[in-house]
Amino acid sequence: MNSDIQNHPLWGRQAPLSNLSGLGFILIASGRTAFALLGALAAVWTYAATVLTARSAAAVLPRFGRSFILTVLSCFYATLFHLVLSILSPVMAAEASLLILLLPALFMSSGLWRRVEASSIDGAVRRALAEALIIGSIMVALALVREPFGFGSISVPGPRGITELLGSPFAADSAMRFVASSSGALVLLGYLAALFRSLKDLYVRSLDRQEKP
Amino acid sequence: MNAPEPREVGLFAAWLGVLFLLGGLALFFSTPLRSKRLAAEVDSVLAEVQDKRRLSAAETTWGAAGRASLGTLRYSVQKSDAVAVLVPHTLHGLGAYFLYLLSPQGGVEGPIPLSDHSRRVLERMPAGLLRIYADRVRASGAWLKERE
Repeated sequence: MNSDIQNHPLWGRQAPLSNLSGLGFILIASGRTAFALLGALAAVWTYAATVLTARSAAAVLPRFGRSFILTVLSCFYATLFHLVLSILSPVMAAEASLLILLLPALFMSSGLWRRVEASSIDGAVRRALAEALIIGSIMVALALVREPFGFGSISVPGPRGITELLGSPFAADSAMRFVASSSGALVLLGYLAALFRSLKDLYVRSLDRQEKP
Repeated sequence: MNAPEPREVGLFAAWLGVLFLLGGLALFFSTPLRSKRLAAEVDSVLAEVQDKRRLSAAETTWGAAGRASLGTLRYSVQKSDAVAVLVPHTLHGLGAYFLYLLSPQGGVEGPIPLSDHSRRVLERMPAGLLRIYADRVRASGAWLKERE
């Protein structure tokens, strides 16, 4: 019964709605390269610190309310990240508040804990880092398309908020503003997902051909 | 469905207690430093636009922030009755912070962008939307005054 639900096209793990869980975070973070870099750093810190703490203290982690504890734990580490950022770069921290606020939801909806629950501490942290880096890479890749086209510049996080590099008034005027908006990001993400699927199909087909004599 | 064991419930409460306590302490003790750092940052923006006013202290006006916008911060201004209001604006999913200076008579100066990013967002903001934000800042000031 359980496997039926997990494989169900609406309720299952591979269902479109399940796969959209991290979309809000990716859309906001990929608006500018500075947000994407900061989001990636925050994701790496929150994922690794949460998994390391929960895995190290597994003996005293109760089954009762475990998901809630993990949510609060990831909120705690995301808040710590925001506190340190607001001391180092207060304007950047203010501008990235919503992004960091969404991190615990991303962590919980990723279902990472279930995948690393039985692993060693080392393996669990490595898996958490890998997943956070993959999300971070997707955000940075998307931001590297959205920002030059949407804003006519590339930005990095700096002590005085977002600092623009390689920008010019001409590039900003001729930028395609639609790409910088959330709807533009959705369109881009759709194309990226289609490209990913066709590359995956090609790879699977080439593996099948190698296996056949 | 079985009821949880007392040990499990105890551990659950202990985890939450410790995490909320540590988080609360971290927030409480870092607030003065964070507030000072943000004020210094805003002062440097004011210096850049040749404004001689400087922020003095953060104002805690419970409920007033929500009147202007969620995430709004208020600061008093040195040697002046004006209030500096930091307001987040959102346009097509892009958020950015702006500074408004609210005079005791209800006049609003701003928005002053706080970073390269907010400058870019400001370029794209329709005039009508900017007027709505300015009105909200003015309304929050009037509401505070009325409450006093």
